Amino acid sequence: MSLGVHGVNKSFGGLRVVDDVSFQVQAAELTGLIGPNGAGKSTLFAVISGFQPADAGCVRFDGHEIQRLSAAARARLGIARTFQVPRPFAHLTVRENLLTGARDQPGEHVFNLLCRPGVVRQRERQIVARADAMLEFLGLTRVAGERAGALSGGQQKLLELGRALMTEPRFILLDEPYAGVNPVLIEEIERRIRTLSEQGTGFLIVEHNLPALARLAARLLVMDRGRLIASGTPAQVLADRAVQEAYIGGGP
Amino acid sequence: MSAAVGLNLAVAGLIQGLLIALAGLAVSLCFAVARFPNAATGDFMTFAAYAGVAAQAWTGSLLAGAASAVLLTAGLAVASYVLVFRNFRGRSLVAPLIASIGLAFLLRSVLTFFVGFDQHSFHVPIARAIVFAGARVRPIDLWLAGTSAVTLLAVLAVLFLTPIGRRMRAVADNPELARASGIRARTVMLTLWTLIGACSAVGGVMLGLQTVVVPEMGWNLLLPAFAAAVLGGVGNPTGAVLAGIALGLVQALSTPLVGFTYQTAISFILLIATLVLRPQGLLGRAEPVR
Amino acid sequence: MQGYLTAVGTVGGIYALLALGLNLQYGFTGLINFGVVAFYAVGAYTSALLALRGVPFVLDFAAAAVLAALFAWPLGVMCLRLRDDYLAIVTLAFAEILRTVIVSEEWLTNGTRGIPGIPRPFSGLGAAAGGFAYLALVLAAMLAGVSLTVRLVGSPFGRLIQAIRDDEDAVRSVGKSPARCKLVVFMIGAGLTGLAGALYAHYLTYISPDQFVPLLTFYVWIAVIMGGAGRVGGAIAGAALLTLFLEGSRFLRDVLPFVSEVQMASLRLAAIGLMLILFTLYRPQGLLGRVAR
Repeated sequence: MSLGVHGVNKSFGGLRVVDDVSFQVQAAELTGLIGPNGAGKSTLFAVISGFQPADAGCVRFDGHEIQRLSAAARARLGIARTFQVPRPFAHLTVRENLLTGARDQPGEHVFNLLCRPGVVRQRERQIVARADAMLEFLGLTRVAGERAGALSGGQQKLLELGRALMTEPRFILLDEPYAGVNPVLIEEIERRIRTLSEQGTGFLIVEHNLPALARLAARLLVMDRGRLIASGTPAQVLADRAVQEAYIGGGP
Repeated sequence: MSAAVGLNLAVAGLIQGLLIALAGLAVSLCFAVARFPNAATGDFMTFAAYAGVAAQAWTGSLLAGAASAVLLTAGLAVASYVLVFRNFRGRSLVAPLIASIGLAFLLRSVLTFFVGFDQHSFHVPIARAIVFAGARVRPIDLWLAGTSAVTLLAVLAVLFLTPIGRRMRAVADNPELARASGIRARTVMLTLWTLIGACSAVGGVMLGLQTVVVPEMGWNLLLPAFAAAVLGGVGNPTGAVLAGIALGLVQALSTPLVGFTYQTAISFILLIATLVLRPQGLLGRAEPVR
Repeated sequence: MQGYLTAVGTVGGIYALLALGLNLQYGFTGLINFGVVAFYAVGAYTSALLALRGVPFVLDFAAAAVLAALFAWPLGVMCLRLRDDYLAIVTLAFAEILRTVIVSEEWLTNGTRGIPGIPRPFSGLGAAAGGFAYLALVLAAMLAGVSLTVRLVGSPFGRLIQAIRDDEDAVRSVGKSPARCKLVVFMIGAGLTGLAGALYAHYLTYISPDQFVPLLTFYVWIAVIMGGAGRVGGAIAGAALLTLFLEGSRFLRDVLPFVSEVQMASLRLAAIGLMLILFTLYRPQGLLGRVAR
C-alpha cells in the first residue's frame, strides 16, 4: 500500500510553495520529510490530506487518484493527519476527543438516535472501550475527564496522535510530533510509532528533530524551497552535500 | 417600460446606489482592516442625520450642519473603537459583530429617548426639477449624487494614494506582517475609524436630505450595505462601492417587475445567490476555511 | 396578581423555548443565526392560519414546527458552509425577506392588518383556569425542548456538533463532514423556534408583521449570551433573566411616572444594547456558560 504525489505544484499569490514534487511512500517503509523552514512541507501535507487543493499534479493512495476527494473523504479512506499546532476540541474532554475519531458510530445521525438507540448504545460501549485502551496506550488515562484545552502542549500532541489513531488509519501524516515535547515523552511517542509501523500502518513524518527522526525512519525525503532535493536512507541523505547546503543556507 | 420611465428609474437607482455605496464603503473598510462587519454603521448614519438637522437648525446653514455632522460622527466612530471595538483584538469576529449590534441599539435608543420617533428633515431650498431627456431630476438629487461621488472618491483616494492608506491596506492584508514591519496600529486604527465615521456621516446626511430623518433610517440601509460589502468582496472597498451602485440600479430597475415592496428583497436574493455560487463574493479573494 | 404571574410565566416559557433553539444552533454548534425571528414568524403564521381553518391544535403546533424546520432546510443547504459573518448577514437578510413577503402577500397573511381572532386552547375553561392550562402547555413544551436538547447534546451526535463548534477542520481530519450535522442542528433549532411561534400566536390571539422585527432575534441572543451559550441550563436562565428584565421595565414605569411609554421603550432598547456590548466584552461565557468565543 502506498501514498504518493506526482508533479504537484502549489502557489500562494505569486510564490511557488510546492514545486513539481513527486514521490511515493510505501507503508512498510516509515518515511520522514525534512527541510528548512519554508521548504513547503506543511503545504505538501495539506495538499496530500485535502486541506489545500493542488494547482497541478495528482495524489495517489493505494493506486487510486484522490486529489478530487474532500479532506473528510480522504480521512475516511484511511489517511489520517495531525496538525503542526495541535487542534484539539478544546471544550470536549480528552476521552470525548478520542471518541470523535471513531468510525461508524450510528449515533452521529439523529435518525439512529431516535429509531435505533440500542445499536447506538452498543457501538458506544465498543468505542469507549477502544478509547480507554488508547488512553492507556498514550499514558493519558489520568486526564481522561479533563477538558482538552487545559492540557499541556505535549499532552495535546499525544491526544492529537490518539485521535488520528482512533480513525483506524492505514496511513498517518504526522506534522512535527516532537515539537515542544519533553525528551522522555519523545521516547514514548517514538516507541508507539515504531509499534504501529511494525503492525502495518504507513507513516510520513515531518520533523525538525533530525536525530530522533533518523533513528526512526527507514527513508528520508528532503525538501528545500518547494522542491524535493534528496531521497534515501537517513545515512545517505544526511551525508548529501545538497542537503547540508540547504540547511546551512536556511537553517532548521 | 418607456425610455423616460426607465431613465427616471435609473437616476433614482444611481442615487440610491451611491448612498448604498457610501454605507457599503464604511462597512467594507471595517471588514477589511478590523475584520468584522460593523452593524452599527447604519446607526452612525442615523446619528449623523440627526446631528446635521440639529446643527442646521442651530446655525441656519446646511453646509455647517453637514460639516458638524461629519465631525461629530467621526468622533463617535473613534469613540466606539476606543471604548468598544479595540478590546476585541484576538477574538473571533462573532464577538465584535454582536457588540456592534448592541451599539446600534444603544445609539438608536439614545436618539429616540431624547428626540422621540417623529420625523425631522433638513431645510432644503425648494427648486424646480430639471427635465433631462424625459427624466425629472431635482437639483438636490444632483447635489446628493455629486457629494456622494466626491466622498467615495476621496475616501478611496486616501486608501490608495496616501501613505496612511497604504499602511491601512497593509494591516488589512496581513496584520502580523504589518505589525512586524513597524506599522503603528494605533494611528492606522484611529484614521480608519475617522474615515468610517466620516463616510457614514456623509451617507447619513445625504439619506436625510433625500428623504426624511427617522430613527430607523440607517438600519434600513444596513443590510443593503452589508450586501454591497460582501458582494464586493471582503478586503475590497472599491468592490463594495461598485457593488453598492450596482445594487441601487438593480433595485430601482427591477421595480416595474417585482413591485416596490420587493425592491430590497431583490438585493438580498442576489446576495444569497452569489454567496451560494461564490462564497468569497463577486470580487473578493478566496479566504481559507476558518 | 395570579393572572399576572401566569402571563409572565407563559411569556417566559416561550422565550425559553426560543433560547433553547438558538442555544442548540449557536451555543452548541457555533452557527450564527441572526434570523431567529423568521422561523418564529413561520411557526406563528402557520399555526394561526391552520387553526382558523379548523385544524386541531395538536396538528397546528406540529405543522408550525415542521414548516419552520423545512424553511431552514434550503437556507441551511445554501448557506451553512459560509463563514460566520456571512451566515449572520444572510440569515438577517432572510428574516427581512420573509417579513417583506408577509407584508406583501395579503391574500395569505392579511398583510399589515395581521390576523386577529386566533383560537386559543383551553379558552373554554374561563380566564383564570384557561390561563393556567396554557401556562402548563407552554411549560410542557419547554420541558420537552429541554429534554430533547439534553438527550441530543449528550449523544454521539451532540459530541460531534460541539467538535464542529470547536474546530471544523479537525472534524474533517477524522473523516466526518460538518455540513450534514450543521444542517440537522439548524433545522431542529428552527423547529423549536417555530413551535415557540405557534405558542405565541395562540396565546396572543392576534399576530401582525410588526411583531416580528429583528429586535426579537436579538432578545433571544441576549438571553443565550447572558445565560451562557453551550449549556442547557444557560438557555433557561437567560430566558428567565430576559423575561424579568422586560417585565421589570414595565414596573419601572410605575416608579418613574415622568418617563413616557416611548421613552421606556427607548430605555429598554438601550439596556439590551448595553448588555450585548458588556457581555461580549467582559463575560462572553455568560453567567453559567463555559464556552467563550
